[in-house]
Amino acid sequence: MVLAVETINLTKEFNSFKAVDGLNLQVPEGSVFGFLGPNGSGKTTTIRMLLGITKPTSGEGKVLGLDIVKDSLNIRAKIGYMAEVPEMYGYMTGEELIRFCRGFYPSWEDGLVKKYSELFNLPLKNKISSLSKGMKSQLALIIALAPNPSLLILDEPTSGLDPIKRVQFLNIIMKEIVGTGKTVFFSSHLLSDVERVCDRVAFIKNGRLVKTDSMDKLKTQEKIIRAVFQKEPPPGFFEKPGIKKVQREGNGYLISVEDNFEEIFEACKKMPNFLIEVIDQNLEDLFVAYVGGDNDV
Amino acid sequence: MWPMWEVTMMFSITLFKKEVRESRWKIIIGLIIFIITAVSIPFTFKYVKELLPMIPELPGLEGFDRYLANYNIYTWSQWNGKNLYQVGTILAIIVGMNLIAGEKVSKTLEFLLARPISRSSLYFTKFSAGLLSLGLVIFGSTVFLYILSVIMGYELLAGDLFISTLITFIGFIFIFTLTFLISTVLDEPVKVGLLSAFVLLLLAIPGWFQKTRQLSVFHHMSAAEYFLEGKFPFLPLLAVLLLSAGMYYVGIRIFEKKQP
Repeated sequence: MVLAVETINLTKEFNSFKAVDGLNLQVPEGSVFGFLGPNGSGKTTTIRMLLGITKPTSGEGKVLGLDIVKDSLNIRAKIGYMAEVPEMYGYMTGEELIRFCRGFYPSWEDGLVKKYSELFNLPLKNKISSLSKGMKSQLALIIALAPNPSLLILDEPTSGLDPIKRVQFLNIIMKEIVGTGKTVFFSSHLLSDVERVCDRVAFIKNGRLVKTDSMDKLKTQEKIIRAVFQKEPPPGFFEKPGIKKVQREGNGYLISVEDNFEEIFEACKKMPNFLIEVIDQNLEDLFVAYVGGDNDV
Repeated sequence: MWPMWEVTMMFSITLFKKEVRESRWKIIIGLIIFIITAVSIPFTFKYVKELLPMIPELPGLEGFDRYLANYNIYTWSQWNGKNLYQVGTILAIIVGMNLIAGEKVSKTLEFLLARPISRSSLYFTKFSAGLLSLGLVIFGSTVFLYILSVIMGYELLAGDLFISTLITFIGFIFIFTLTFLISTVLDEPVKVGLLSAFVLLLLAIPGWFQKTRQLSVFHHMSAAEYFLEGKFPFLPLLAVLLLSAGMYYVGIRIFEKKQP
Protein backbone atom coordinates (compact mmCIF):
# COMPACT_ATOMS: atom_id res chain seq x y z
CA MET A 1 0.00 0.00 0.00
CA VAL A 2 1.47 3.35 -1.06
CA LEU A 3 1.00 5.95 1.64
CA ALA A 4 0.34 9.61 0.98
CA VAL A 5 0.80 10.45 4.65
CA GLU A 6 2.58 8.49 7.33
CA THR A 7 3.49 9.52 10.85
CA ILE A 8 5.46 7.54 13.40
CA ASN A 9 5.16 8.57 17.04
CA LEU A 10 4.62 12.14 15.96
CA THR A 11 4.57 14.37 19.02
CA LYS A 12 4.21 18.09 19.57
CA GLU A 13 4.61 19.69 22.95
CA PHE A 14 3.86 23.29 23.80
CA ASN A 15 5.76 23.90 27.02
CA SER A 16 4.79 20.74 28.87
CA PHE A 17 1.40 20.29 27.17
CA LYS A 18 1.28 17.50 24.60
CA ALA A 19 -0.96 18.73 21.79
CA VAL A 20 -0.11 15.65 19.72
CA ASP A 21 1.09 12.58 21.53
CA GLY A 22 2.83 9.75 19.70
CA LEU A 23 0.54 9.83 16.68
CA ASN A 24 0.82 6.94 14.21
CA LEU A 25 -1.17 7.63 11.06
CA GLN A 26 -1.28 5.93 7.71
CA VAL A 27 -3.19 7.55 4.89
CA PRO A 28 -3.25 5.44 1.72
CA GLU A 29 -2.73 7.21 -1.58
CA GLY A 30 -5.97 7.90 -3.41
CA SER A 31 -8.12 7.70 -0.28
CA VAL A 32 -10.38 10.30 1.27
CA PHE A 33 -9.25 10.23 4.84
CA GLY A 34 -11.41 11.68 7.59
CA PHE A 35 -9.46 12.98 10.55
CA LEU A 36 -11.92 13.29 13.38
CA GLY A 37 -11.69 14.66 16.85
CA PRO A 38 -13.24 17.25 19.14
CA ASN A 39 -11.93 20.80 19.32
CA GLY A 40 -8.49 20.91 20.89
CA SER A 41 -7.79 17.26 20.14
CA GLY A 42 -4.70 18.06 18.06
CA LYS A 43 -6.10 17.96 14.51
CA THR A 44 -4.86 21.37 13.42
CA THR A 45 -1.49 20.90 15.12
CA THR A 46 -1.07 17.59 13.26
CA ILE A 47 -1.93 19.26 9.96
CA ARG A 48 0.50 22.09 10.66
CA MET A 49 3.24 19.54 11.32
CA LEU A 50 2.44 17.72 8.08
CA LEU A 51 2.78 21.03 6.24
CA GLY A 52 6.01 21.95 8.01
CA ILE A 53 4.43 25.06 9.52
CA THR A 54 5.09 23.65 12.99
CA LYS A 55 8.08 21.45 13.78
CA PRO A 56 7.40 18.25 15.74
CA THR A 57 8.96 17.85 19.17
CA SER A 58 9.71 14.23 18.39
CA GLY A 59 8.72 11.46 16.03
CA GLU A 60 8.71 11.58 12.29
CA GLY A 61 6.39 11.96 9.38
CA LYS A 62 6.29 11.66 5.64
CA VAL A 63 3.99 13.32 3.16
CA LEU A 64 4.11 12.00 -0.41
CA GLY A 65 7.28 10.21 0.60
CA LEU A 66 8.96 13.44 1.75
CA ASP A 67 10.19 14.14 5.26
CA ILE A 68 7.99 16.72 6.99
CA VAL A 69 10.97 18.47 8.58
CA LYS A 70 13.63 18.31 5.88
CA ASP A 71 11.41 18.60 2.80
CA SER A 72 8.61 20.83 4.02
CA LEU A 73 9.13 23.33 1.20
CA ASN A 74 8.75 20.62 -1.38
CA ILE A 75 5.72 19.21 0.44
CA ARG A 76 3.98 22.60 0.44
CA ALA A 77 4.65 22.96 -3.28
CA LYS A 78 3.03 19.61 -3.99
CA ILE A 79 -0.04 19.75 -1.79
CA GLY A 80 -3.09 21.93 -1.54
CA TYR A 81 -4.11 23.18 1.88
CA MET A 82 -7.20 24.90 3.11
CA ALA A 83 -7.18 26.19 6.69
CA GLU A 84 -10.07 25.93 9.13
CA VAL A 85 -10.72 29.66 9.00
CA PRO A 86 -9.21 30.79 5.73
CA GLU A 87 -7.98 34.26 6.66
CA MET A 88 -6.73 35.99 3.54
CA TYR A 89 -5.74 39.52 2.59
CA GLY A 90 -9.03 41.39 2.78
CA TYR A 91 -7.80 44.38 0.80
CA MET A 92 -7.08 42.23 -2.26
CA THR A 93 -9.68 41.15 -4.78
CA GLY A 94 -10.07 37.46 -5.47
CA GLU A 95 -8.14 37.89 -8.72
CA GLU A 96 -5.29 39.68 -6.96
CA LEU A 97 -5.04 36.97 -4.32
CA ILE A 98 -4.98 34.30 -7.00
CA ARG A 99 -2.23 36.21 -8.84
CA PHE A 100 -0.32 36.55 -5.56
CA CYS A 101 -0.55 32.81 -4.83
CA ARG A 102 0.28 31.80 -8.40
CA GLY A 103 3.75 33.28 -7.94
CA PHE A 104 4.60 30.62 -5.35
CA TYR A 105 3.71 27.55 -7.42
CA PRO A 106 5.48 26.36 -10.56
CA SER A 107 2.67 23.88 -11.23
CA TRP A 108 -0.16 26.43 -11.01
CA GLU A 109 -2.95 25.84 -13.52
CA ASP A 110 -5.01 28.86 -14.53
CA GLY A 111 -7.49 26.51 -16.21
CA LEU A 112 -8.39 25.00 -12.84
CA VAL A 113 -8.92 28.46 -11.35
CA LYS A 114 -11.27 29.35 -14.22
CA LYS A 115 -13.10 26.04 -13.98
CA TYR A 116 -13.77 26.18 -10.22
CA SER A 117 -14.51 29.90 -10.04
CA GLU A 118 -17.14 29.41 -12.74
CA LEU A 119 -18.49 26.38 -10.94
CA PHE A 120 -18.80 28.36 -7.69
CA ASN A 121 -19.90 31.49 -9.56
CA LEU A 122 -17.43 33.40 -7.44
CA PRO A 123 -17.13 37.19 -7.93
CA LEU A 124 -13.34 37.34 -8.23
CA LYS A 125 -13.34 41.07 -8.93
CA ASN A 126 -14.74 41.81 -5.47
CA LYS A 127 -12.54 42.53 -2.49
CA ILE A 128 -12.06 39.54 -0.22
CA SER A 129 -13.27 41.57 2.77
CA SER A 130 -16.66 41.88 1.05
CA LEU A 131 -17.04 38.14 0.43
CA SER A 132 -19.21 35.95 2.64
CA LYS A 133 -17.61 33.25 4.78
CA GLY A 134 -18.77 30.64 2.30
CA MET A 135 -17.27 32.54 -0.64
CA LYS A 136 -13.98 32.87 1.22
CA SER A 137 -13.96 29.10 1.78
CA GLN A 138 -14.61 28.57 -1.91
CA LEU A 139 -11.79 30.93 -2.84
CA ALA A 140 -9.47 29.12 -0.43
CA LEU A 141 -10.45 25.81 -2.02
CA ILE A 142 -9.73 27.18 -5.51
CA ILE A 143 -6.29 28.31 -4.33
CA ALA A 144 -5.68 24.89 -2.79
CA LEU A 145 -6.72 23.13 -6.01
CA ALA A 146 -5.01 25.40 -8.56
CA PRO A 147 -1.50 23.91 -8.18
CA ASN A 148 -3.11 20.59 -9.17
CA PRO A 149 -1.88 18.88 -5.99
CA SER A 150 -1.76 15.14 -5.54
CA LEU A 151 -2.72 15.58 -1.88
CA LEU A 152 -5.33 17.98 -0.58
CA ILE A 153 -5.39 18.78 3.13
CA LEU A 154 -8.64 20.34 4.27
CA ASP A 155 -8.97 21.53 7.85
CA GLU A 156 -12.66 21.80 8.75
CA PRO A 157 -13.45 22.92 5.20
CA THR A 158 -17.25 22.93 5.41
CA SER A 159 -17.73 24.48 8.82
CA GLY A 160 -18.58 27.94 7.44
CA LEU A 161 -20.79 26.86 4.57
CA ASP A 162 -24.56 26.80 4.30
CA PRO A 163 -26.15 23.40 3.51
CA ILE A 164 -26.33 24.02 -0.27
CA LYS A 165 -22.72 25.18 -0.52
CA ARG A 166 -21.67 22.28 1.68
CA VAL A 167 -23.26 19.77 -0.68
CA GLN A 168 -21.68 21.58 -3.65
CA PHE A 169 -18.32 21.55 -1.89
CA LEU A 170 -18.53 17.85 -1.06
CA ASN A 171 -19.64 17.03 -4.59
CA ILE A 172 -16.53 18.73 -5.90
CA ILE A 173 -14.43 16.66 -3.57
CA MET A 174 -16.18 13.51 -4.71
CA LYS A 175 -16.29 14.16 -8.44
CA GLU A 176 -13.37 16.40 -9.24
CA ILE A 177 -10.75 15.38 -6.73
CA VAL A 178 -11.29 11.77 -5.82
CA GLY A 179 -12.12 10.96 -9.43
CA THR A 180 -8.64 12.03 -10.47
CA GLY A 181 -6.92 9.77 -7.96
CA LYS A 182 -5.90 12.52 -5.58
CA THR A 183 -5.68 11.90 -1.85
CA VAL A 184 -7.80 14.02 0.45
CA PHE A 185 -6.98 14.48 4.14
CA PHE A 186 -10.18 15.83 5.58
CA SER A 187 -10.32 17.11 9.13
CA SER A 188 -13.77 17.78 10.46
CA HIS A 189 -16.21 17.41 13.26
CA LEU A 190 -19.19 17.55 10.90
CA LEU A 191 -19.65 13.83 10.87
CA SER A 192 -22.33 13.72 8.20
CA ASP A 193 -19.83 15.30 5.77
CA VAL A 194 -17.17 12.79 6.66
CA GLU A 195 -19.59 9.90 6.36
CA ARG A 196 -20.57 11.16 2.92
CA VAL A 197 -17.13 11.42 1.36
CA CYS A 198 -14.51 9.55 3.37
CA ASP A 199 -13.44 5.98 2.82
CA ARG A 200 -11.14 5.85 5.85
CA VAL A 201 -11.32 7.62 9.19
CA ALA A 202 -9.17 8.17 12.23
CA PHE A 203 -10.39 9.32 15.62
CA ILE A 204 -8.04 11.49 17.66
CA LYS A 205 -8.49 12.46 21.28
CA ASN A 206 -6.11 14.46 23.46
CA GLY A 207 -3.51 14.22 20.72
CA ARG A 208 -3.60 10.43 20.60
CA LEU A 209 -4.94 8.21 17.87
CA VAL A 210 -7.88 6.29 19.30
CA LYS A 211 -9.02 4.37 16.26
CA THR A 212 -8.37 4.23 12.55
CA ASP A 213 -10.14 2.04 10.03
CA SER A 214 -11.96 1.99 6.73
CA MET A 215 -15.51 3.30 6.68
CA ASP A 216 -16.69 -0.02 5.26
CA LYS A 217 -15.19 -1.93 8.13
CA LEU A 218 -16.55 0.51 10.68
CA LYS A 219 -20.02 0.20 9.21
CA THR A 220 -20.00 -3.58 8.95
CA GLN A 221 -18.02 -4.46 12.05
CA GLU A 222 -18.71 -1.73 14.57
CA LYS A 223 -22.07 -2.70 15.99
CA ILE A 224 -23.79 -3.27 19.30
CA ILE A 225 -25.51 -6.57 20.02
CA ARG A 226 -28.33 -6.37 22.53
CA ALA A 227 -28.80 -9.82 24.04
CA VAL A 228 -31.02 -11.22 26.75
CA PHE A 229 -29.85 -14.75 27.43
CA GLN A 230 -31.93 -17.47 29.08
CA LYS A 231 -29.08 -18.24 31.41
CA GLU A 232 -25.80 -16.57 32.26
CA PRO A 233 -23.17 -17.11 29.52
CA PRO A 234 -20.22 -19.29 30.52
CA PRO A 235 -17.07 -17.63 31.89
CA GLY A 236 -14.87 -16.30 29.09
CA PHE A 237 -17.80 -15.92 26.69
CA PHE A 238 -17.26 -12.19 26.42
CA GLU A 239 -13.52 -12.50 25.95
CA LYS A 240 -13.69 -13.14 22.24
CA PRO A 241 -11.44 -11.10 19.98
CA GLY A 242 -13.39 -8.10 18.61
CA ILE A 243 -15.52 -7.46 21.70
CA LYS A 244 -14.72 -3.91 22.80
CA LYS A 245 -17.04 -3.47 25.73
CA VAL A 246 -19.82 -5.33 27.54
CA GLN A 247 -22.41 -3.47 29.57
CA ARG A 248 -25.22 -4.89 31.65
CA GLU A 249 -28.65 -3.52 30.71
CA GLY A 250 -31.41 -4.79 32.93
CA ASN A 251 -31.32 -8.57 32.61
CA GLY A 252 -29.53 -8.37 29.27
CA TYR A 253 -26.25 -7.25 27.79
CA LEU A 254 -25.06 -4.57 25.40
CA ILE A 255 -22.06 -6.03 23.61
CA SER A 256 -20.02 -3.44 21.70
CA VAL A 257 -18.22 -5.11 18.82
CA GLU A 258 -15.39 -3.51 16.89
CA ASP A 259 -14.27 -6.48 14.80
CA ASN A 260 -15.12 -10.09 14.03
CA PHE A 261 -18.81 -9.24 14.09
CA GLU A 262 -20.21 -12.28 12.28
CA GLU A 263 -18.48 -14.78 14.54
CA ILE A 264 -19.53 -12.97 17.73
CA PHE A 265 -23.12 -12.63 16.49
CA GLU A 266 -23.29 -16.35 15.64
CA ALA A 267 -21.93 -17.23 19.08
CA CYS A 268 -24.60 -15.10 20.72
CA LYS A 269 -27.32 -16.65 18.59
CA LYS A 270 -26.20 -20.14 19.61
CA MET A 271 -26.68 -19.27 23.27
CA PRO A 272 -30.30 -19.87 24.40
CA ASN A 273 -31.80 -16.41 24.41
CA PHE A 274 -34.98 -14.38 24.69
CA LEU A 275 -33.72 -11.57 22.50
CA ILE A 276 -30.86 -10.95 20.11
CA GLU A 277 -30.81 -7.74 18.13
CA VAL A 278 -28.18 -5.73 16.31
CA ILE A 279 -27.90 -1.97 16.77
CA ASP A 280 -26.09 -0.38 13.84
CA GLN A 281 -23.60 2.37 14.64
CA ASN A 282 -23.37 5.50 12.57
CA LEU A 283 -20.29 7.66 12.57
CA GLU A 284 -21.72 9.94 15.24
CA ASP A 285 -22.28 6.99 17.59
CA LEU A 286 -18.75 5.82 16.95
CA PHE A 287 -17.36 9.30 17.44
CA VAL A 288 -19.09 9.59 20.80
CA ALA A 289 -17.95 6.09 21.74
CA TYR A 290 -14.32 6.68 20.81
CA VAL A 291 -13.64 10.26 21.77
CA GLY A 292 -16.07 10.44 24.65
CA GLY A 293 -18.45 12.94 23.11
CA ASP A 294 -17.99 16.64 22.81
CA ASN A 295 -20.11 19.74 22.70
CA ASP A 296 -19.33 20.46 19.08
CA VAL A 297 -20.72 17.22 17.72
CA MET B 1 13.31 20.96 -12.36
CA TRP B 2 11.84 20.95 -8.88
CA PRO B 3 14.97 20.99 -6.71
CA MET B 4 16.56 23.80 -8.75
CA TRP B 5 13.41 25.85 -8.39
CA GLU B 6 13.48 25.33 -4.62
CA VAL B 7 17.12 26.24 -4.22
CA THR B 8 16.76 29.45 -6.19
CA MET B 9 13.61 30.38 -4.28
CA MET B 10 15.55 32.49 -1.78
CA PHE B 11 13.61 35.61 -2.61
CA SER B 12 9.95 35.72 -3.48
CA ILE B 13 9.03 38.28 -6.12
CA THR B 14 5.32 37.75 -5.56
CA LEU B 15 5.67 38.36 -1.82
CA PHE B 16 7.95 41.34 -2.46
CA LYS B 17 5.31 42.94 -4.70
CA LYS B 18 2.66 42.38 -2.03
CA GLU B 19 4.83 43.95 0.65
CA VAL B 20 5.62 46.99 -1.47
CA ARG B 21 1.95 47.32 -2.28
CA GLU B 22 1.07 47.22 1.42
CA SER B 23 3.71 49.90 2.08
CA ARG B 24 2.69 52.17 -0.77
CA TRP B 25 0.81 54.67 1.39
CA LYS B 26 3.68 54.81 3.84
CA ILE B 27 6.00 55.51 0.91
CA ILE B 28 3.73 58.18 -0.57
CA ILE B 29 3.03 59.94 2.74
CA GLY B 30 6.67 59.66 3.75
CA LEU B 31 7.76 61.19 0.45
CA ILE B 32 5.25 64.03 0.81
CA ILE B 33 6.45 64.84 4.34
CA PHE B 34 10.11 64.70 3.36
CA ILE B 35 9.56 66.74 0.20
CA ILE B 36 7.80 69.44 2.20
CA THR B 37 10.72 69.38 4.63
CA ALA B 38 13.22 69.48 1.75
CA VAL B 39 11.43 72.43 0.12
CA SER B 40 11.85 74.45 3.31
CA ILE B 41 15.65 74.23 3.16
CA PRO B 42 16.49 76.29 0.03
CA PHE B 43 13.56 78.57 0.73
CA THR B 44 14.63 79.44 4.27
CA PHE B 45 18.42 79.64 3.84
CA LYS B 46 18.60 83.31 2.77
CA TYR B 47 16.02 84.46 5.33
CA VAL B 48 17.63 82.65 8.23
CA LYS B 49 21.03 84.00 7.21
CA GLU B 50 19.67 87.54 7.12
CA LEU B 51 17.61 87.20 10.27
CA LEU B 52 20.15 85.60 12.56
CA PRO B 53 22.37 88.66 13.11
CA MET B 54 19.28 90.65 14.09
CA ILE B 55 18.31 88.19 16.78
CA PRO B 56 19.97 88.76 20.16
CA GLU B 57 21.98 85.83 21.57
CA LEU B 58 19.48 83.23 22.56
CA PRO B 59 20.28 80.17 24.66
CA GLY B 60 20.61 77.18 22.37
CA LEU B 61 21.50 79.23 19.31
CA GLU B 62 25.17 79.71 20.23
CA GLY B 63 27.36 78.75 17.32
CA PHE B 64 24.42 78.40 14.97
CA ASP B 65 26.00 80.95 12.63
CA ARG B 66 28.62 78.37 11.60
CA TYR B 67 25.82 76.34 10.00
CA LEU B 68 25.03 79.34 7.87
CA ALA B 69 28.57 79.66 6.50
CA ASN B 70 27.46 78.18 3.22
CA TYR B 71 24.48 76.38 1.73
CA ASN B 72 26.12 72.96 1.96
CA ILE B 73 26.58 73.13 5.71
CA TYR B 74 23.13 74.60 6.18
CA THR B 75 21.59 71.79 4.12
CA TRP B 76 23.45 69.18 6.12
CA SER B 77 22.42 70.78 9.45
CA GLN B 78 18.76 70.88 8.43
CA TRP B 79 18.63 67.63 6.49
CA ASN B 80 20.94 64.95 7.91
CA GLY B 81 21.47 66.73 11.20
CA LYS B 82 17.79 67.29 11.92
CA ASN B 83 14.81 66.50 9.73
CA LEU B 84 15.99 63.38 7.95
CA TYR B 85 17.06 61.43 11.00
CA GLN B 86 14.25 62.63 13.24
CA VAL B 87 11.34 62.05 10.85
CA GLY B 88 13.17 59.13 9.23
CA THR B 89 13.39 57.37 12.58
CA ILE B 90 9.61 57.53 12.93
CA LEU B 91 9.21 56.33 9.35
CA ALA B 92 11.61 53.39 9.91
CA ILE B 93 9.53 52.35 12.93
CA ILE B 94 6.26 52.68 11.00
CA VAL B 95 7.58 50.66 8.06
CA GLY B 96 9.05 47.90 10.26
CA MET B 97 6.39 47.49 12.94
CA ASN B 98 3.76 45.90 10.72
CA LEU B 99 5.79 43.45 8.68
CA ILE B 100 5.50 40.32 10.83
CA ALA B 101 3.16 41.46 13.61
CA GLY B 102 0.71 42.72 10.97
CA GLU B 103 0.43 39.24 9.48
CA LYS B 104 -0.11 37.80 12.94
CA VAL B 105 -2.77 40.30 13.98
CA SER B 106 -4.66 39.93 10.67
CA LYS B 107 -4.34 36.13 11.04
CA THR B 108 -2.80 35.79 7.58
CA LEU B 109 0.50 34.38 8.83
CA GLU B 110 -0.73 30.80 8.51
CA PHE B 111 -1.95 31.46 4.97
CA LEU B 112 1.51 32.77 4.10
CA LEU B 113 3.43 30.02 5.87
CA ALA B 114 1.37 27.40 4.04
CA ARG B 115 2.84 28.59 0.72
CA PRO B 116 5.97 26.89 -0.59
CA ILE B 117 8.38 29.48 0.69
CA SER B 118 10.93 28.93 3.43
CA ARG B 119 10.70 31.06 6.54
CA SER B 120 14.16 32.49 5.89
CA SER B 121 13.11 33.56 2.36
CA LEU B 122 9.91 34.99 3.72
CA TYR B 123 11.80 36.94 6.37
CA PHE B 124 14.41 38.15 3.91
CA THR B 125 11.80 39.22 1.35
CA LYS B 126 9.84 41.17 3.94
CA PHE B 127 13.05 42.75 5.24
CA SER B 128 14.11 43.73 1.71
CA ALA B 129 10.72 45.19 0.87
CA GLY B 130 10.73 47.28 4.06
CA LEU B 131 14.24 48.50 3.44
CA LEU B 132 13.43 49.35 -0.17
CA SER B 133 10.38 51.36 0.94
CA LEU B 134 12.53 53.24 3.41
CA GLY B 135 15.29 53.76 0.85
CA LEU B 136 12.84 55.07 -1.74
CA VAL B 137 11.62 57.75 0.65
CA ILE B 138 15.04 58.72 2.01
CA PHE B 139 16.99 58.78 -1.25
CA GLY B 140 14.01 59.95 -3.32
CA SER B 141 13.51 63.00 -1.16
CA THR B 142 17.28 63.65 -1.06
CA VAL B 143 17.37 63.63 -4.87
CA PHE B 144 14.44 66.04 -4.82
CA LEU B 145 16.29 68.31 -2.38
CA TYR B 146 19.35 68.32 -4.62
CA ILE B 147 17.39 69.09 -7.80
CA LEU B 148 15.38 71.84 -6.08
CA SER B 149 18.55 73.41 -4.69
CA VAL B 150 20.18 73.42 -8.13
CA ILE B 151 17.03 74.89 -9.70
CA MET B 152 17.04 77.65 -7.07
CA GLY B 153 20.61 78.47 -7.94
CA TYR B 154 22.47 76.97 -4.98
CA GLU B 155 25.69 75.07 -5.37
CA LEU B 156 25.21 71.88 -3.48
CA LEU B 157 27.93 69.23 -3.40
CA ALA B 158 26.09 66.16 -4.59
CA GLY B 159 28.76 63.71 -3.36
CA ASP B 160 28.76 65.09 0.18
CA LEU B 161 24.97 65.17 0.31
CA PHE B 162 24.59 61.57 -0.80
CA ILE B 163 27.43 60.19 1.33
CA SER B 164 25.89 61.93 4.37
CA THR B 165 22.51 60.49 3.43
CA LEU B 166 24.05 57.05 3.06
CA ILE B 167 25.51 57.35 6.57
CA THR B 168 22.09 58.39 7.88
CA PHE B 169 20.48 55.52 5.99
CA ILE B 170 22.82 53.01 7.65
CA GLY B 171 21.43 54.32 10.93
CA PHE B 172 17.94 53.72 9.58
CA ILE B 173 18.89 50.13 8.75
CA PHE B 174 19.68 49.69 12.45
CA ILE B 175 16.38 51.26 13.54
CA PHE B 176 14.39 49.32 10.97
CA THR B 177 16.07 45.99 11.87
CA LEU B 178 15.40 46.60 15.56
CA THR B 179 11.72 47.29 14.85
CA PHE B 180 11.56 44.29 12.51
CA LEU B 181 13.01 42.10 15.28
CA ILE B 182 10.45 43.36 17.78
CA SER B 183 7.74 42.80 15.16
CA THR B 184 8.82 39.16 15.10
CA VAL B 185 8.52 38.84 18.87
CA LEU B 186 5.35 40.82 19.60
CA ASP B 187 2.06 40.25 17.84
CA GLU B 188 0.57 43.75 17.99
CA PRO B 189 1.98 46.34 15.58
CA VAL B 190 1.16 49.24 17.92
CA LYS B 191 3.00 47.56 20.79
CA VAL B 192 5.90 46.90 18.42
CA GLY B 193 6.07 50.59 17.50
CA LEU B 194 5.89 51.74 21.11
CA LEU B 195 8.51 49.29 22.35
CA SER B 196 10.80 50.12 19.46
CA ALA B 197 10.45 53.85 20.18
CA PHE B 198 11.18 53.21 23.86
CA VAL B 199 14.31 51.16 23.11
CA LEU B 200 15.51 53.84 20.70
CA LEU B 201 14.90 56.51 23.31
CA LEU B 202 17.18 54.56 25.67
CA LEU B 203 19.76 54.22 22.92
CA ALA B 204 19.61 57.96 22.30
CA ILE B 205 20.56 58.82 25.89
CA PRO B 206 24.34 58.38 25.39
CA GLY B 207 24.13 60.93 22.58
CA TRP B 208 23.07 63.64 25.03
CA PHE B 209 26.42 63.68 26.79
CA GLN B 210 29.77 64.62 25.32
CA LYS B 211 31.61 61.68 26.92
CA THR B 212 29.24 58.99 25.72
CA ARG B 213 28.22 60.51 22.40
CA GLN B 214 30.22 57.96 20.42
CA LEU B 215 27.98 55.22 21.79
CA SER B 216 24.86 56.70 20.24
CA VAL B 217 23.69 55.49 16.86
CA PHE B 218 21.88 58.79 16.40
CA HIS B 219 25.13 60.72 16.79
CA HIS B 220 26.74 58.73 14.00
CA MET B 221 23.76 58.74 11.69
CA SER B 222 23.66 62.54 11.69
CA ALA B 223 26.92 62.29 9.67
CA ALA B 224 28.40 65.15 11.75
CA GLU B 225 31.85 63.55 11.79
CA TYR B 226 31.89 63.26 8.03
CA PHE B 227 30.47 66.66 7.26
CA LEU B 228 32.15 68.80 9.87
CA GLU B 229 35.44 66.95 10.35
CA GLY B 230 35.77 65.29 6.95
CA LYS B 231 36.17 61.82 8.49
CA PHE B 232 34.10 58.94 7.24
CA PRO B 233 32.94 57.00 10.33
CA PHE B 234 33.99 53.56 9.11
CA LEU B 235 34.25 51.84 12.47
CA PRO B 236 31.03 53.19 14.01
CA LEU B 237 29.12 52.34 10.82
CA LEU B 238 30.64 48.88 10.74
CA ALA B 239 29.55 48.41 14.36
CA VAL B 240 26.05 49.62 13.48
CA LEU B 241 25.88 47.23 10.51
CA LEU B 242 27.18 44.32 12.58
CA LEU B 243 24.61 45.03 15.29
CA SER B 244 21.92 45.16 12.60
CA ALA B 245 23.11 41.84 11.17
CA GLY B 246 23.03 40.36 14.68
CA MET B 247 19.47 41.56 15.23
CA TYR B 248 18.47 40.17 11.82
CA TYR B 249 19.98 36.81 12.77
CA VAL B 250 18.19 36.74 16.14
CA GLY B 251 14.96 37.75 14.38
CA ILE B 252 15.19 34.96 11.84
CA ARG B 253 15.90 32.40 14.58
CA ILE B 254 12.80 33.55 16.46
CA PHE B 255 10.73 33.57 13.28
CA GLU B 256 11.78 30.01 12.46
CA LYS B 257 10.02 28.89 15.66
CA LYS B 258 7.07 31.25 15.54
CA GLN B 259 3.63 29.66 15.68
CA PRO B 260 1.10 31.04 13.16
